[in-house]
Amino acid sequence: MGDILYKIKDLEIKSCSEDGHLVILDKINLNIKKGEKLGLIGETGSGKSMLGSALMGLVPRGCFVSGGAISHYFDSFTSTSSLRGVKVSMISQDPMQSLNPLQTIETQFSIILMKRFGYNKNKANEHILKWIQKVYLHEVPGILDRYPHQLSGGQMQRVMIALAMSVDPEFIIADEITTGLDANIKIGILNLLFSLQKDLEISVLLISHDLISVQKYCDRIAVLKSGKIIEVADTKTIINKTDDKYTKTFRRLPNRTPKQKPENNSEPILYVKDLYKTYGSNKDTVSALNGVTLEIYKGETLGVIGESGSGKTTLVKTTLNILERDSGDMILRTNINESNLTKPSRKIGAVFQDSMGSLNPRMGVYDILREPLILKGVKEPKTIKTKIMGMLDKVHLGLSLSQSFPYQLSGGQRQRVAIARALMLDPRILILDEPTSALDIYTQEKILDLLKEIQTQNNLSFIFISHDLGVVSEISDRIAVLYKGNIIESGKTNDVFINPSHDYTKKLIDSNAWMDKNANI
Amino acid sequence: MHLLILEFINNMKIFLQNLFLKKSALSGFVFLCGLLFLSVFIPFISPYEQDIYGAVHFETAGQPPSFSHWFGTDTAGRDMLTITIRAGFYSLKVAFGVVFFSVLIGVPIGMFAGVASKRIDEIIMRITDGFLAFPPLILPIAITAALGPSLNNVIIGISISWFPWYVRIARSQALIISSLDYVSISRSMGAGKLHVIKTHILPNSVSPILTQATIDAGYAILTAAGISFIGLGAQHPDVEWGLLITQSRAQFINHWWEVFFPGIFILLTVASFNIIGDELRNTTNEKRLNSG
Repeated sequence: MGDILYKIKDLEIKSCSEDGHLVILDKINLNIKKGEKLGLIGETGSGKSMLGSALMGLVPRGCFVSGGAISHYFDSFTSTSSLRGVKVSMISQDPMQSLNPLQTIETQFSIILMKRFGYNKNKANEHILKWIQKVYLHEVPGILDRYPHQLSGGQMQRVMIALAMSVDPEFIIADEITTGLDANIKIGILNLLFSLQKDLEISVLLISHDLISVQKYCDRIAVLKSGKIIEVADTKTIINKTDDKYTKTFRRLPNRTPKQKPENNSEPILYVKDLYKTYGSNKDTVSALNGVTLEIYKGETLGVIGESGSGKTTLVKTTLNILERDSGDMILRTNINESNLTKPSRKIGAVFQDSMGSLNPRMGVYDILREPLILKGVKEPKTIKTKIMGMLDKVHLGLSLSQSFPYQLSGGQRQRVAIARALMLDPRILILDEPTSALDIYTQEKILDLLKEIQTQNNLSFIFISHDLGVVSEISDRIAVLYKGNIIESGKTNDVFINPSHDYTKKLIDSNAWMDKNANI
Repeated sequence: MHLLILEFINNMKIFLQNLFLKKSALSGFVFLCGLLFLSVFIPFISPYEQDIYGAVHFETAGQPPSFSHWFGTDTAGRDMLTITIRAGFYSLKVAFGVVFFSVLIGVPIGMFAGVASKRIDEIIMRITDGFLAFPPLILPIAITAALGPSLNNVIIGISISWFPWYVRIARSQALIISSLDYVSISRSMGAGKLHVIKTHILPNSVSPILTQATIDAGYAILTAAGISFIGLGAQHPDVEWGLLITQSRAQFINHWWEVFFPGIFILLTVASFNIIGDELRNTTNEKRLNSG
């Protein structure tokens, strides 16, 4: 078969559900060539990861191959399972889930290398050091003795790349490996993967919902929709000649015209002053927030940008008062009074990044929306029902979904439920912690539109935390840049974007500009 | 509370749906249901119902299995089938009783420890460690001996020794679930610890606790049989499988059926509980996968 590595013919995968069999992949026909960089794009739930798993021979429990076949053309390997960890490696989306939390990086490396090559400890260590250097982790102090939770998202993903590459594979499946990472880390990870790919002349299947990254790195792109491949062509053809509306949605960029609002001279609704928070005790203290000062005015959106580990999550939790701060003030001004918050306030609501994790999987949508009302002491069933139905309508969710469970909803729908829940208590401020970063571009736009609509209707103030500058610039009136627990720069959105004063901000803006430039090829 | 009941019913529904697909789990379930039914109604079914209350028939003493006595008779001439099945009632009482009290004591303490301050958590966990430091049989024996030999005291003894396991499971569930985003959101809306336990932790912990309880039910029967074997368990005229084996152990060589049938019933009952426990665990895992 010459230069063909995989030949997928009429592949059909179904899952067993209560309503019978559900088609996940429908008559997939695709060839993967040797040394090729193939991109696979599709919206959430289109079957991208299932195709990756099927290539590894790892169809999840509850699903089965109901038709067609995957043939591979590796030398002297008969079964797909015998290829795993030898000729084929996989890097998955969430490195925290992929790495064993109980083993150090060195142990995880050694186990794989000893099994793959039969190395002894010394030889394995030599090999590990070589790979740690290749992925530029050798400068991290004591990297080999660290556990996964002691590394940042980007570092963990580098470890995963090194692990996947160290077994000397011929084919790598990279499944959404940059989702949730900051723009500059994202570029670093993809550059690293494809420079290693070039050196080692291996094939890569890059699964993503981000066409911008895929078009930059891949030779050929396959577009997956509802389990079917609707388009396969070389990257240029897909980018220039396609008439398909679906593919276009992945290429569409959010409207990045910064929002302009009249200057607000009133008193801030929330004033956060000198917020300090450290973790650990005695010698092992890590400072997460170093005197953060922020103010937010009525009806405005404050965008907070910062990379992983900059203290974003700590800032969210301390502002919500679910994490005790070491020192600092948090003055909330409402029409009635002014108070220094030390306990959670119902005037501040929150929406988190992981819509699946922020909804109780055992509760239906109705119960999820009922919880805030119960906490507020509303007991009248009729009032509860009216409020919930009104809120579902407000966030444009069908009333029929009120009995659905989170796993039955799409990512966008779940995020709408999370927004609806945050609005149930009629807050004055909403903290939006990366509410769109786990969503594809199309869904992102819809959620941003909804947020803008709600803000106008309720005159709400938003603290919008994100690493995606495009999204932040679209929605924010002012920007604050968080770096190592400090606000290093803040100002009007346009001012910060046009004249960044800090090096870190410049670097962030450059990374995003790079992504935008490549998107317009 | 309705969430908790819904979760329990939902688990049971999926479990029963899956049950009919898995032959081993179905046979275990049918065996336990059959045993429960027969052990309750055996006084009305068996022609030898007087034997349950300690009747003596020397004319039929020590008979091997036959058409009139399928499991043979014991040295007092009692029908072994009737008393073995009736003994099942007391053994199942031990199984359910132990699991009920262990869960009742252990789960609230564990969940409280999971959401309480570090200091209170430490105190609770060190106390439970104290209970767990005893070898498995010693503490139930000591408690039963101190309270006096009876089946109810065996239940109390085993429950006191085993509740720390449920403290551990419930605490670990509470720790995991407390760190999840939906609990953070709930707390940010003013939810207290009790609300978090009731609304989020308890419904999400039903599956692992139920699985552990099912497996423990089998071991409770084994432990109770062991305690009865040394004379501290069920007292005449109540019968329990361990007691039946104790009473007959001297005749084991000549009257094998007196030990063999109660032994087989212990084996089948424990195996049934274990198989059902495994199936429940699989059901939970599948559900978790679907929801993940």
